[in-house]
Amino acid sequence: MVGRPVRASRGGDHFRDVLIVAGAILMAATLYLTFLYAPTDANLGVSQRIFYFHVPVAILSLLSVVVVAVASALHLFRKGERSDAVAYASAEVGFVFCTIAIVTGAIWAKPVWGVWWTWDPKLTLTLVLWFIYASYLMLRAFGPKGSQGARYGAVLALIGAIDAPIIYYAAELWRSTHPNLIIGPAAPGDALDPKMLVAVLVSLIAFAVLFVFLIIERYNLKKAETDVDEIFQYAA
Amino acid sequence: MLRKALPIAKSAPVVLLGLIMAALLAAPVYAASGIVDQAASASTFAQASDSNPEANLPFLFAVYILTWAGFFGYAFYMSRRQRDMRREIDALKQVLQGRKEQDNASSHEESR
Repeated sequence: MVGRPVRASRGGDHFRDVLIVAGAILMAATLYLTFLYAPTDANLGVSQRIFYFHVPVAILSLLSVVVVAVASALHLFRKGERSDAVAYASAEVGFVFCTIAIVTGAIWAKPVWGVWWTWDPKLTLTLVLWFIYASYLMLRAFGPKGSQGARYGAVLALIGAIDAPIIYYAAELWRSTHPNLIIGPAAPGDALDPKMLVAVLVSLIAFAVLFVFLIIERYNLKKAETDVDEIFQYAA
Repeated sequence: MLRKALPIAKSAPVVLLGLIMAALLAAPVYAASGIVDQAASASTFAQASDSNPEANLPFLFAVYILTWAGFFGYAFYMSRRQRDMRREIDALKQVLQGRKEQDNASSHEESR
């Protein structure tokens, strides 16, 4: 058991390689589409190009909490360690994405709205999501260890995931400074210029590849950490 | 196979994000040098001729820097965690190896 490699299986390594290559190609394509292909918005100017970064990252931060909730539900019903590791990995990566979404949103808000931050429903709920991620990670780090901590985290994640659809529809539900939905299932078809739509979709796929890659890396690390802890307890 | 061809892929997270960061850091330079496409589009984002599209370039630059610094920082954090864990595994191996040698020595003495 001690000599077991920390890394994932050979098949997992190949998948990882595919993600690296695909991610690099897609990021290069995103670069081209964002700066050369997509037209410049006349009202917002160059700052509108923040959109191709901010929106995919924000969508993935919402998706991440859904992944955490689904994996947590599986963990509660099946008691599987794998689902708990997926939930933890997704929460940590989601926290990074949510932080970046808030920071990029604030930077975009300054030239467009004249302020770094406003207590708009969508922004406030996103900040709540950030606190949910932070509390989940703090609970796992400083709360009960082992299966009890995993169960507490799973319950918190399930409650926290309720925030995701509310954030998505926030601009539709309340009067909001934040623009209405422009991509996604509830967005009108003609909300975005076709070239802008292509650019944002490719950017979304590129960031999704990065998102999956980071989750796989963190999952492998989490599994290895758990294994090492168990061996230490056994050896002690 | 790809791993053999590209030995650098062992430190993949850092390398990937480093390459992407370098590429994306160059992106605002494209915009600054006026390569920005001014094509008209029929969208909800109306085109107007009186605005200066490059006025907010520092904000775009800040977003790119901070975003990729964030991802790069996270990849660096993960690589450090991996390194710490490898150290723990080495320590564990030494402990178990010592115990094994101790067991062998005691069983050898018993057999005498």
